Amino acid sequence: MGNNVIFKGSNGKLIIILNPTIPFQELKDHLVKKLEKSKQLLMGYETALEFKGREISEEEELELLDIVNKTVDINILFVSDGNELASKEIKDVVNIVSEGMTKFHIGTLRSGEILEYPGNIVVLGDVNPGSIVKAEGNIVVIGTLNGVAHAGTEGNDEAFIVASNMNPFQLKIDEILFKNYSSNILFRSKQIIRNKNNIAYLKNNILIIDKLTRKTLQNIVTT
Amino acid sequence: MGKVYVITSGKGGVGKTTTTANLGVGLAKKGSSVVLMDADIGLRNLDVILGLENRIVYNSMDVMMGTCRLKQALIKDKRYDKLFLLPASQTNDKMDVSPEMMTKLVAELKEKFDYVLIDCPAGIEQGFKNAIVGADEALIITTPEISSIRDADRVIGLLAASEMGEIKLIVNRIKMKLVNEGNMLHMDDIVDILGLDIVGVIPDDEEIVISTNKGEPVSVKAMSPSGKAYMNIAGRISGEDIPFLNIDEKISLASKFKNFFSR
Repeated sequence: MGNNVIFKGSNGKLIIILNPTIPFQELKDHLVKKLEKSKQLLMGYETALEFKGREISEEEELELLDIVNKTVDINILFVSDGNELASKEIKDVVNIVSEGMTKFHIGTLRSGEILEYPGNIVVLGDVNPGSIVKAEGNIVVIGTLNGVAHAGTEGNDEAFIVASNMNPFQLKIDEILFKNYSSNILFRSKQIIRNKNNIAYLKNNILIIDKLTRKTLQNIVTT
Repeated sequence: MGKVYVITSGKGGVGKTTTTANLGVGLAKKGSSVVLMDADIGLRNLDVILGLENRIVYNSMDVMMGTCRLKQALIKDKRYDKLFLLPASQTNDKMDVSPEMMTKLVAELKEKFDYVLIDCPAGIEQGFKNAIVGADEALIITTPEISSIRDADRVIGLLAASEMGEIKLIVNRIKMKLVNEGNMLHMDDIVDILGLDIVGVIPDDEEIVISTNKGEPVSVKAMSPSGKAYMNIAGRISGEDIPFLNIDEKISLASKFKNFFSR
């Protein structure tokens, strides 16, 4: 199918990047296909929308909006024309950390690989030493987190990092850095029993790593 | 049509060349025709391990440049009729070879032999890229050391991104005494981190040093622990179902006695 239509989540806005040269009819088909594939992901979503990468007339824009509305169940709050609307309105309506776009990575991140996303990231697999995960939102690792994870990169101090086996070299949430001074990062047979489902979050500018229990969750929620 | 394996690791000195030689001997002993190709141009070692260094007239560079025919460069092993070595050039370097040249040569070898084993150089630069380009499958060699595992992980990531087929793992130089003390990573830890199927575990063995200097790979006599391990790997590659040597057993028996008397 190619990348004639690309979705990008950025700062609470869904940007649809369109191929500038292919015939409009073909573009519409690609848009339908891509939307069908993302149906589950976008379901119930409330967002601002922006079309980019191609000069389109008002009629064409209306056609594309029509397709979006008919194919997926999202609530388009308004259509942006690209001028940065970094107003409070958007931020109040869509908070990445609670409702943002999420990238799902299936498989292990190996040493030397970097995964960056302007939203939340879920890794189904391990994050091996020497790899880096960077998200504007939250990071969830269903597996072992050994590498480096940086959540809340664009100044989002409410972001959290969860891992089934939390044993990273370094964690960063917003600007707060945590370095893991314990050794034996790789001795998993010793680690797995001790650490299970941990969450890292900021409280009063301190990075806390805790077991993911009801008590911890209460602590996070209460400001 | 034969099968092409590349034996690689990222880290240097973990046993790629030793494994290539011993696997080659093992497969030849089982009746297959094997060619061992040294892809470490400029720093060749495969010929030394096999004890064939004084027989080299032509090398793979000569074949690729058209200076000689493939048959003239292939050296038959002194012990096994079906085992051949295609040595690397010692006077060129890795930048003199392109992936296209390698692909052509490997394709030619594939037609003539049951198995083509490519001894990959250390690193992830041009030498590595050339060595992996013609291979069907990869064997990753790692020792139970963190540095080796880190490099192996990197290499596996690169191989997965290229069009490599199956990638399997061989853990080399394991010392069960250290593992049981908790001072060395267990095979299971390594498999867990690297996420690959294991095809062999080779214990650390002094015989390897002796065999290298003699020019006779351990799997020729296959009496030492490493020799037996290599024969088992050759068997598994050939499709035999061989259980793993339980290197644990000897030590766990001793520890049973220790606990009894310490009460």
